[in-house]
Amino acid sequence: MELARRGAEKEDAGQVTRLGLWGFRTRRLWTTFAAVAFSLFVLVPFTWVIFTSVKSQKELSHNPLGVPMDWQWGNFAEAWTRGHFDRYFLNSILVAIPTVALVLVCSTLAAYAFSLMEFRGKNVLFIIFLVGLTIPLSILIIPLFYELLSLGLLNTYWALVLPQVAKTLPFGILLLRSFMEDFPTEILDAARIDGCSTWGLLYRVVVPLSAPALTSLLVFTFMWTWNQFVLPVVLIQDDAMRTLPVGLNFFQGRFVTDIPLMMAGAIISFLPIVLMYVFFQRQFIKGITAGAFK
Amino acid sequence: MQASRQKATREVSWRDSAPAYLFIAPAFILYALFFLWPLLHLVQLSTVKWKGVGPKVFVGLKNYLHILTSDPKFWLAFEHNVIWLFAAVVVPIVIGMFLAVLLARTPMHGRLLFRTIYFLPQVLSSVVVAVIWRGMYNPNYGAINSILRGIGLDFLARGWLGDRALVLPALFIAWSWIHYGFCMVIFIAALQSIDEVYFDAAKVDGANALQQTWYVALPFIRGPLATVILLTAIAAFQVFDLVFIITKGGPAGASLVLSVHMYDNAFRYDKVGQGAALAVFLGALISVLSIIFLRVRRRLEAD
Amino acid sequence: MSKHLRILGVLILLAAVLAACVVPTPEVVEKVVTQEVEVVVTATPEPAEEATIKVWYTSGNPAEIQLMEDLSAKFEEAHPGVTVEFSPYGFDDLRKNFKLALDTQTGPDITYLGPGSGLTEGGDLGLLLDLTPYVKQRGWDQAFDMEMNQAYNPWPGQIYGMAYDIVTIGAYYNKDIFNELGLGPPETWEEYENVIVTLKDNGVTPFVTAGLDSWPLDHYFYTLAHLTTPYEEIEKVWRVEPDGNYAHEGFVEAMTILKDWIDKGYFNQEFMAVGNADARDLFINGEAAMFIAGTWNTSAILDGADFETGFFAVPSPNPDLEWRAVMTPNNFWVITEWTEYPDAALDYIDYMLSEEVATAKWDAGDVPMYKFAAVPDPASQLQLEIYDATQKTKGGQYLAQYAHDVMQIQWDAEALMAAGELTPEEVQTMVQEAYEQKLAEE
Repeated sequence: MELARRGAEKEDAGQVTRLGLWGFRTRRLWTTFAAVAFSLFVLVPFTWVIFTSVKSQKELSHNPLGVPMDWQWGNFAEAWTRGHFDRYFLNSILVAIPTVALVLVCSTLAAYAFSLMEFRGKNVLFIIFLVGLTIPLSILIIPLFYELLSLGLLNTYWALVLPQVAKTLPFGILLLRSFMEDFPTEILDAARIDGCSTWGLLYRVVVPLSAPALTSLLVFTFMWTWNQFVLPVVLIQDDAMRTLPVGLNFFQGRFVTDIPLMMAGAIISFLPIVLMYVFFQRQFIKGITAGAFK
Repeated sequence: MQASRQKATREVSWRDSAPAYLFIAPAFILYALFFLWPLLHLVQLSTVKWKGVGPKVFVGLKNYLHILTSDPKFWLAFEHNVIWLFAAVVVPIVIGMFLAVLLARTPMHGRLLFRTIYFLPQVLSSVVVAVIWRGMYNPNYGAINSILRGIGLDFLARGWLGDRALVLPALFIAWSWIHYGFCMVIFIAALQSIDEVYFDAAKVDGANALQQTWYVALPFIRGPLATVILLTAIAAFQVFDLVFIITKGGPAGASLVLSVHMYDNAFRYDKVGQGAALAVFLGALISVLSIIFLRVRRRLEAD
Repeated sequence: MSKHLRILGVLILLAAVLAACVVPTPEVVEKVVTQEVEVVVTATPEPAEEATIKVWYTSGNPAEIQLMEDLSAKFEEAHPGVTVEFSPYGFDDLRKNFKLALDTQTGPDITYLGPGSGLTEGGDLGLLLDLTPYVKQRGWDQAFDMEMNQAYNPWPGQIYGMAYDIVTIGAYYNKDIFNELGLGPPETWEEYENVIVTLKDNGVTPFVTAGLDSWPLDHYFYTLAHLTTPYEEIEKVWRVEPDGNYAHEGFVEAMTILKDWIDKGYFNQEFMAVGNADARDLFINGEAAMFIAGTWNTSAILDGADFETGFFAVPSPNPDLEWRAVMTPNNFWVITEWTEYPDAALDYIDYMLSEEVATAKWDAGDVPMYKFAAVPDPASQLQLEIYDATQKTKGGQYLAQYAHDVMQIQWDAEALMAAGELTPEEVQTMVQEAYEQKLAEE
């Protein structure tokens, strides 16, 4: 919205009206053209995914790039049933929801302390959390396996939730802290003067003000958890507990690959995220940018 | 406000710190249990020789020594990651900036639509992206060669992924396809945050969008630019999925990166200790890079 | 102050309670039986027992997975009280996960995996159930070629694994192309060379392979190596023995033939940039005459090809050696030692080793290891030709199967040779160096 509004403002302000090649309207056409050209770069692979998902394997061998001649919608049904994607989808949701909940709650509490409270070892603790941003989860897989095993959590949803939460908390704290640090002190001071307790301040002032950042955090955490691959591959042993990315990887087998089925599965997998992105775009973008400004 | 915030936190007593600790506790407990603890365990694993099953033999720092002195693939992978790093700091960032300028500072239709489209690769699972690009690079019917042939550039069509000189750039392009979107949105917001006033002066002098960006905007967006560079650098060292699924590091190690080499050691060569040592090394490297970078950024922002 | 401490405490308690609730195992999955499999209900000697067995299976073929799930459902029907939890895995993932399972003695009751995946160590450490007493008891030695089973076994004297199907590497060929040029499946090496040259002279690409995945090209080497090298040498390197020699002249000769084929342009263009599925597609589209590959490609080829496909074992240039091909049992069924339901597990394996299952697999286009009294009608002529090939040659091994680090070096060296940077001798020397280094590190 912001972007469009700014653009409209400029146009209303009556830009330079030199005629000819660099006239306003022509310039707009050129830039739009450039934008379209570049979007092809993005959309061509996506179109390929969609086309491939409705071909049969036989057709894919003979017609790998073209428009499908025989639209096999059955691929989606097959991925859903025989490919077990119905189960994987449910599992992905059952993992994503607790993860998002825990990340939101814990990040908010911690960020509140980091931004609005004074305490000993504040900087040290913050740096300890930052370390989590730099280390990829994949290298911790083996130790995590043994730890979750000894906790009796292997092969459960918690095996996927807890490490993911631990990995996402640094980002969440960083993000929320930047937002909270930006709060105008007047509001905070006013609330304090009115006799607001620390907890009340959090609940009544800080959280509502952080709503955009919280939404961004929600969307990001959901996306990362949804697409998380390396955790379920190792920590989940039974097929019944697997999530979508593992299922997707399965069609990409070593000796036999079923690409059309896989692309159908891929579409099932990324549709929720794409929809979420389309509806929560602003929060998505705001989330990244807020982190960037701090 | 800043000054009062930075009031000596050392002077705060333990007792007064208690409430803050309580607020941080849930996050810290989870983080310590499921991130820090496994990290320590990993370091411990890096000091043993182990096949993944059977007895573990303590070897101290021998794994690290072996990596640094008798593992040519390590240096090969490291070199590739460094190349990737340098290219990453340029390509996706420049593309991101260009698109940000296009979307935020030039007159055009459908800004929002295009921004949505440009960001789309970021939401895909890396497994899917890998399969897509593997298909695109297919020498017989992949999109890339087909397009080249279609526009009469047949001589450019080749086996991209089989050519030891081209495979790393080819993978890098696929990675950039994902990553530029991230850079772009940060730059868009950065550009939008600059007051139009500063641009007006330049416009009066007749500067176009690109010139405006270079002379006016850049000084203002040093902070976000630095952040983007850092995050991009970290991502460049962590590259795994694309390489692993498309080429597995081949041919003959021409596209081997550290994370794949680490995986190979731990899961294919039955050298779990070595894999763990490589993991620790990779993690430490990235952490050091990040700390250095954050220091530099803080100094830059202080100007 | 104490008020928000209380509230915070409640919050933390809530989080702790959440953490304490472990989500129980999910509901029983409905299995959709889509295939009609003839059920011969065998009376089980034991009464119904309550048991849940976890089966970890590997196959890259969704059709095979479906078949296995259907068969597992049949087994459950015939054994009331027994529940089968069937989990299919990709091959690499199963290797990885089973090793972790072995180390912690958690996980499956039964797995279907090949040796060299931690399986070997598992057997050595006594983590697998010894099947020796049951082989005779259940009559498996009557139904299977135990010699072949044991040849594939890395545990001399012990039987931890039972295989039930065979894979072999040989030459799929496009019968239409062959017939057009008046060619037939060659019976001697000279005939074979003649076939290749005729194809090439007529503008047909003789072979397809996939250098991007590395192992398909390597399988060409394996096939040739079995024809040029005495089997003891192959066994030695396969079992990672101290006197194994990858630089043996037989291996060098095989690599030389391969290089010759590459240099003469007998392979598809840019084969180093092509993956296995794509190479197979080239064959399916009639763009090459032959595809020397493993029989796991059969169903894809049968589904996709518009022409009739045949199969022959590659003839040998060396009449002094036994005629061998890479031909082994595919994987083993093993039972883990820590299983709580050994009887149910044995029943399951017994069922998998039965004639009923062998027939189902045969109908699905596989080559079961079962010794049929009368070979059932094949689903296709191709399948019959594959079966004939397996009867003609003696078995062989995937050379570096137990030494994946050496295997990677072999792949790297082959890629370099394909790029013209190494000679065949240099390739094998490089592999031998890696092999010796590995032996030194053990």
